[in-house]
Amino acid sequence: MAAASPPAPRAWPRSLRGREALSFYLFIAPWTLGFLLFILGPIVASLVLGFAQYDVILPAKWIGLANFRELLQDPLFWTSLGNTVYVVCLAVPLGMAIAFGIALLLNQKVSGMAAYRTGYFIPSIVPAVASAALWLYLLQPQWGLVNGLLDLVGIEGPAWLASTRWSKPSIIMLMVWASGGTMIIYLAGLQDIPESLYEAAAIDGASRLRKLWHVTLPLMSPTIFFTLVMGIIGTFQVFSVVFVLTDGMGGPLNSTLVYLVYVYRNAFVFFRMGYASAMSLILFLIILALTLLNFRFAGRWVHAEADLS
Amino acid sequence: MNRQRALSRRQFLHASGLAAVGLAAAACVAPTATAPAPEADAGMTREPVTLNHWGFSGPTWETIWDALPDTYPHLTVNPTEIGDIVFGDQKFTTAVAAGTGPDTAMQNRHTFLQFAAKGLYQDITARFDASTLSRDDYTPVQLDETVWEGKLYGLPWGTDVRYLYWNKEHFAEAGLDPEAPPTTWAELEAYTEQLNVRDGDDVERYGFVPYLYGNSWMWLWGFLADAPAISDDKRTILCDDQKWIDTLTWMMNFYDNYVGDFEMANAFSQSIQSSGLGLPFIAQRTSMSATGNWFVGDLLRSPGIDWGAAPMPIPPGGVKSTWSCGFSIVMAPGSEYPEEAFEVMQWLTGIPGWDALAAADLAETRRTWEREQIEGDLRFWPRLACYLPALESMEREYIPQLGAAEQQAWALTLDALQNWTHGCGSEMGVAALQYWVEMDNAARNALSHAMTPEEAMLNCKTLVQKATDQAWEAIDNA
Repeated sequence: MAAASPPAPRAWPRSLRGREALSFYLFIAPWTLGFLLFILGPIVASLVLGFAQYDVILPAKWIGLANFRELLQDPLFWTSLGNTVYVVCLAVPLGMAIAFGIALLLNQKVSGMAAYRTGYFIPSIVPAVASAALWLYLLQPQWGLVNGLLDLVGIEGPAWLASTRWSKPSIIMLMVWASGGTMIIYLAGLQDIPESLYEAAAIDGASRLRKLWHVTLPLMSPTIFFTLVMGIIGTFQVFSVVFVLTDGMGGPLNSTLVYLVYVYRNAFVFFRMGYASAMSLILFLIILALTLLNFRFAGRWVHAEADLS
Repeated sequence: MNRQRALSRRQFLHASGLAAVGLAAAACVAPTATAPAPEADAGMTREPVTLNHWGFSGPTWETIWDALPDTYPHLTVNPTEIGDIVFGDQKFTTAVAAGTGPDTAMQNRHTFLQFAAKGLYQDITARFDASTLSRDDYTPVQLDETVWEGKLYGLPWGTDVRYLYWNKEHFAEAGLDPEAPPTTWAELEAYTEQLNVRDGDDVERYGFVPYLYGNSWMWLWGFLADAPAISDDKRTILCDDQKWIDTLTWMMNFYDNYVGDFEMANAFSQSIQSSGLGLPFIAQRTSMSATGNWFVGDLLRSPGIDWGAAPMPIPPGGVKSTWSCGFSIVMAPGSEYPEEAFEVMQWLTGIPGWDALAAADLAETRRTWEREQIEGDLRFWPRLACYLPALESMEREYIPQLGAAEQQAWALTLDALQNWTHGCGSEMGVAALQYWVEMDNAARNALSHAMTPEEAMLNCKTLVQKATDQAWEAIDNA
């Protein structure tokens, strides 16, 4: 009788746990591969290229901190950073305030509310390019709707996107108009507040304003904090609408040259990939610092059970 | 009983996971040039080849390649939109860098030297010299723009020239001789003042608006003043030359005296075009316009305008000049079919390619005339070929049917192409994109009084010279 041959190694795990693990890894593999190849890979490459001179075609050359030194001397770098900070400082609080106000209105129990909610949410799902094209018409100086409405109340509207003074407010208007996503988050937060707290406040004789100040706002503070952090991160990266509204040039006279449009110009118009990578690294550090700062001070005003420190 | 086995959830998950990984892997495979079809036609002497060409898209361009087999039966072209080829050429550049470029591609000549110097195009000198083509058969300036360090890197395809259009009725209304356009900058100012029409503070009609209206850019004005753009060795940027500063100063004063606020003039033009009235000259809201030869085609669709075309007015000490640009066809490095790619280049820039394009353009023009319900017989204004036999062929075919104004504009065009053209490619050097952007910024900064003309041009010089130095450093070290 021949000796029994050893069992052949199995390609597939036998145990239920092993099979489940394999399924899990297979299932997440497309996303993981995509993340590694198209997100993490470029991030790491960008970190390295920030210290190099690289024009896509010729090999990269290590130049140490030269890109960063040049950036500090580049007036357009400061212009783009200033423009971006301007947009962030106005668009984020304005967008949050208006979204919060609309969410309060849409949290009422009146008929047809679903239609109102849908109406206010729709602008946020309009693609950036389409909404920019729409606003090009709305802000048209001679016959645009915005100046038409201003004309009705006796105000001569400005040239908006053709004016260095009004071009940034034009961009901010568009961004605020598209803040339906924030509004939905606020609405979800408002509906999470127990009705009993408002009843208790009413029994204590609280007015609507006091209920808002002492019940709604404290309980909404984690949600507001979330939208603040996300708003700052997102607005620092504003690109598409400005690119479309200004034909990629950030005009007039660089008045809408926001940070990422300048990164794009250096990377894909001038092919200064190293310089653009250095700019991206700086933006990453700015956003990281602001986010950490937000978390550092969140404890002072955010009523959260979770530890934010 | 024949019972079909149901798929369990686990099996489904396995299958979907594998399929997704497979799809992702398949999507990551680098595209390759299309292989020749295995079955060659018995009647052909060469293997069929399909080439990838990146260029323009649209109905006109989709049909012209159907005519290629009439000349080269073994060739088929797979055309793809190239995207932006004015500001950056991102798709072509990154694809070539990644080794996945097409066989042939259209390229703008204003960036030609910048990209040729970096090895983005194949040297075709030997193929050109071995072919039946002759350098004398091309418009000279445009052919020179495809030469880098003595080697030919592409074939010039089409070009353009710019001149002054004037509205004869407006001239007559303003008491000017309708047959005598301005020939100097001083006359241009005087005529503009007479032709401007205002209703209080509101502009009804501009006599002339330099730079913003039409298609003249800063470059044309500088060249008319004989201002040098770059040194002969392409290493020194010369936009800080006093002639550039004087030109920009003149233009700034022109705005201050005859146009008014830069932003409002811009808004006025945008509002006319957004209202569907067309360009300000077509809408008869400006009496003179500095723009290109293609504008004749727009005027043919506006039969109510009595117009003429003349060389641009020049300043004291200036020169007769026009600003000319356009596109060339190149062979990308790494093409697996260089011989066939050169045949496609030769076809597209030669008489067969231009005939096919003119036929497609004519069909498109006919559709436009029908759509816009334009009265009268169809009239067609052809594009400008750099290959002179093709240009002459189109002249014979299409120009005799046109009116006196169009024929005079055609004669002006040919004269400009042969005798007084400044080519965009030869004036920009190896940091062409920066030069284009910064020259535009300089003009806008001065015209809107954000900088003095001197500050604006010095700023342009500093930024572009730095980019040029960096580009040369990379080229020298490559």
